[in-house]
Amino acid sequence: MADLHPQPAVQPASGPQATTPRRRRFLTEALAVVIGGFVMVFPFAAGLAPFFDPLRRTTGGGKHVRVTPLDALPDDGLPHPFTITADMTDAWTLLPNEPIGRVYLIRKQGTQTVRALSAICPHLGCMVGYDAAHELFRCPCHTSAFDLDGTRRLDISKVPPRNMDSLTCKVENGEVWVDYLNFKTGLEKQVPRA
Amino acid sequence: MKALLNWLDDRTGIRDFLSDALYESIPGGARWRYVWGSTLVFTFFVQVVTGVFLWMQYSPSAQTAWESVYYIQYQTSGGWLLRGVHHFTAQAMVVLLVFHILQVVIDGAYRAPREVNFWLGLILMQIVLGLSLTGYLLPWDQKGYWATRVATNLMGLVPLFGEKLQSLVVGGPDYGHHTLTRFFALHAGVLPGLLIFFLVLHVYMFRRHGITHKLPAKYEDGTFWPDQVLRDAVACLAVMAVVLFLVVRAAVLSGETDVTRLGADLGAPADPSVPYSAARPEWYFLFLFQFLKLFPGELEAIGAIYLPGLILLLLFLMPIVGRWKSGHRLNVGLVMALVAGAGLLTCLAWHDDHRGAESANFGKAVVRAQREAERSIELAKAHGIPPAGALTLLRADPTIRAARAFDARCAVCHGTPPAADDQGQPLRNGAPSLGGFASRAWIAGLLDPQTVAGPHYFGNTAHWDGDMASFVNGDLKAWKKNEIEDVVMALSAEAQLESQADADRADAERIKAGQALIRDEERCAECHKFHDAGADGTAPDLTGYGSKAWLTQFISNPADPRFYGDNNDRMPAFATAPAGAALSSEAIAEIVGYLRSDWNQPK
Repeated sequence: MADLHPQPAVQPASGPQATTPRRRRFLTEALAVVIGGFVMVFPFAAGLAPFFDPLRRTTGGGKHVRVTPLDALPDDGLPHPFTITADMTDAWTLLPNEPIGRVYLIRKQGTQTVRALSAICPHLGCMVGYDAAHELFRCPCHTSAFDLDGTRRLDISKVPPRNMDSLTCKVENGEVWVDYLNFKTGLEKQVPRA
Repeated sequence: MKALLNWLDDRTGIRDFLSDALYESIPGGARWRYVWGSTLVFTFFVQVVTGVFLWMQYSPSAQTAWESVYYIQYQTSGGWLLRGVHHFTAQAMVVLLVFHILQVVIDGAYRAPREVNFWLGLILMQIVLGLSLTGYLLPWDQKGYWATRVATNLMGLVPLFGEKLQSLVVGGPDYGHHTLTRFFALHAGVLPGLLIFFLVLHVYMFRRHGITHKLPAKYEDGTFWPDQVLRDAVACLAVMAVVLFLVVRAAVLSGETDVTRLGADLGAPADPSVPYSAARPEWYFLFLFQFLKLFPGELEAIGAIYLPGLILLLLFLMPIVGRWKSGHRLNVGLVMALVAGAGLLTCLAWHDDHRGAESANFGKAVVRAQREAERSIELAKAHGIPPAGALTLLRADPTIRAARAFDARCAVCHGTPPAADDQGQPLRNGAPSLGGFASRAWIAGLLDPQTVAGPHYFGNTAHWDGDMASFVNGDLKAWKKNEIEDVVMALSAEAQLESQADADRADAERIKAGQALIRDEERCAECHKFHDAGADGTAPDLTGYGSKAWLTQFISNPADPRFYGDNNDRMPAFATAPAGAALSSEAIAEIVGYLRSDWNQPK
């Protein structure tokens, strides 16, 4: 089918022309680029602040959480997992008494002394499990292994950058309280998440 | 660099592509009237970009849609701007569409060989309207919810498969999660996808046929770049400026300083159990809304489906009708008539709502809707939103419940005053208006011979010529002005209204003087009991008049000897009314709080 509107071949206006039109043309081009560019950037600018909004959110620091009555924790020197329950805010939703994590509590034999270890692997943040047969903590993701006191076992796996994260833990009026917080993973030092 | 460009060009042909795109010939040169299409592409681009940003934060479900939009608007930095731009650009798009169609039809650009492109344009128009309609629901507020119910019920009127179509769109027999997921998929996936597809065809066809220009051309031919690009860019800049103005207009016009109150509105969360009398479609659909008022129920489908379908058909037939010269005139006349008709219907709709016989009710509904919207946001800010959604906050809120209970149980006789200091229209057969009950202004009105037997007070009750009205119109006229004022202050102080606490403290002396006057058994205490005076009063006890305890007992039983006794007009004893008509003591307490404007603040 024949084209009803054959396009005339148009030359870009770069041929010999008087100076004034050429200057005018440059001005037009410059304005077209500037204004056109500006309006195209506009919707991105409108989305910029909301897009970066997560950067100004913080975890709100550690939470002082009552975990268990001391009596419920056997004094066998072995790690016992406990769920950490606290009020949590997820964007707009306020979740009261929400399980937010897990710790291992270890009570030394015949004492009231309790240690708390975060169950989050310091390597890349998977949840560390307890291997009772070998009396070791083991991470299911990249073979990290730790002794009962949280010391990394480099002879088993070289990946953990530091020992397991221990948490401040107190016994008050027969209750075990833990300052629960998360740490940055992959670092040699223990650095709380902002 | 040049080698790299050469390589790229060799592999992609990008130079030819760009040169084709930029150096398209414009016979007769660049003109302002060609900008409409470009502004539409621009607005679509803005919608895609802002829409994707919104998408990152929106959550389509009945328990999270309103909540996530609330979070965008009120808790996310710059969220109000993003949402406002998306909201008002959508409106700009509809306006630009109308301009574009008018320009195309008036210029005859729909005629051969451009018929197909005109049809593509009409399809694009419907996609844009579909985007508006689906977007309106997504915040899941009362406004969007009820408007969408109407729109989808209209869809159910489509012959043969209407009901099935409605079910498919709504995602089931009822509105809920799947309505939102489906509308969201349509709004952010299907419709934009279709729009891009048809837009590519539209632009391709446009490039194939070139611009429609007047013959013979008055000016030299030009090229798209840079002359037309500059004009297009300036036009887009203007659109952007208008959109930005609309977003921040409250700050500019009324000095609003809280940015989260700028931009698009967010109503109260959708609640199928709560009437929403302020329901209106977005303004550009108002003409259709008004149009439907013209059709009686059984003929609804004619107004909603057949006539709009017919008009659309006429639009599609334009290129064929336009083959004849008089056909073109007919077409121009048709679009002009359509625009004028839609404009007229829009004005009528506006008039009905703001000036018409029912405008007071609409005004009230809007005030109520705003109050509920603001309250929802206050509650969400103060308490955080429970996992079951913001609606649970609202339903449990004494303020909202009281207002709703007052509307359901009291307003039938007392009317709903728009505000504490505005009694609004009195009811023709009503009991006293209760806006600002027991405040100084309210009592002053009661003691005013002009108003005591008027419609806002006793005018439409058995008390219109009772002892009180006779007293105000008789003995009271002999009182000094300051004596009456003292009594007003003293009686109002009995209510211990929080809003009047400062004034009550400041006027302690005059209140004392007023109390002495009320105690005087030659004056008020002749009929009314007041603390230790007027022991055998026959009229309502004024001790603690308007206080929580007084109101609670009064509402519980106005015919108690302490109040009206046998003289009680028609007011029921709400505490002891038969089941169904009775109010629980909690409900009475809430209504009392509402009457005293002593609304519980969020804790």
